[in-house]
Amino acid sequence: MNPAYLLCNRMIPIALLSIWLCPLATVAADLKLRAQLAWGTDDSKPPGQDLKELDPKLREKFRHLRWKNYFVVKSEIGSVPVKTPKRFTLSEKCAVDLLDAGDGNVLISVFSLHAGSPPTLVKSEPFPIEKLKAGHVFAFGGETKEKWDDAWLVVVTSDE
Amino acid sequence: MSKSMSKSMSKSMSKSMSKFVRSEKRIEFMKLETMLEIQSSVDGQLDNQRRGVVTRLMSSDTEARELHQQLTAVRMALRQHEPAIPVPESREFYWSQIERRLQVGEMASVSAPSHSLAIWRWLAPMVGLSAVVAVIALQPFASSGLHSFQVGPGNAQATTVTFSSEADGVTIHWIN
Repeated sequence: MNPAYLLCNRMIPIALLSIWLCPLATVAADLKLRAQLAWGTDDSKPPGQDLKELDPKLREKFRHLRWKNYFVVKSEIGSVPVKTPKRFTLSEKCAVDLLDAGDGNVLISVFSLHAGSPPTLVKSEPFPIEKLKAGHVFAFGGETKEKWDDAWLVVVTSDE
Repeated sequence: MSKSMSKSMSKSMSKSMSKFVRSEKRIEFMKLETMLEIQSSVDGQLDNQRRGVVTRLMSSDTEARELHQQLTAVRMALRQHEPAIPVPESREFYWSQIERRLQVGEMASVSAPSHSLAIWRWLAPMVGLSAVVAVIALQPFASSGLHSFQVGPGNAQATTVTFSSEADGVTIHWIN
């Protein structure tokens, strides 16, 4: 049998199969991340507000911070495609963009939102995806401007 | 005993007592001065002339020599065994806080020059208070084992302090 014919006969189906599976592989590679806006306070939960306490495992991660209580203001899960930023709007004033940079890092950017004007970048940091997948928690934090002595946290974790 | 005799005796006693007290005070004062000179010598604070005086004194006075040896031993013990307590936040962190607040203050004073003094009165305690609050907020990190601190400017206006602990599996960028 002609070796060239044999090669074509075997390789063409494999190549076609690879092309067909390629988009599936890309979809599978999308990162699944969770972004949460948490509120750190020494006060108890305000009455009438539907706030959940931060997950105890996450709370333990923040045990070095000094606030007594942490409440989840908003939590969102989303797939983060490669090189396409995924925006998570966590409050009227806060959003976070997650971008799989394609180099093993996810770029985490916090924005301050203002009505009628474009979002202002507050801070952007790359973070290794492998670490997130291994359970490492990434967070931006700061003191709230609305209430003296309270804190906000934008927490990014892997949801895989 | 006649009254005149007792009067003269009490006078002479009081005279001798006053002499004694004055001389004791002078001796004590001299001793204290000498001790301070020896202490200064140990600390290396004396010029050549005064150091020569102390050296001569130690060669002739056993008590002075012993004191010098004791003070030297105490100094060495303190130097060698004093615990080094590193401050978790760097100098740059504190200065970045102060600098940032000063910039805010300058902007405020440009926009409202007539109130600059009032702003500074308000701002000065706030600078200190903010630094203290930041230190208190992050203070517990210092005792948590494997972790690292980094201070750097944000890519926007924000300055951040980064806390990272591999042991706890957490990285926090604290935005000031």
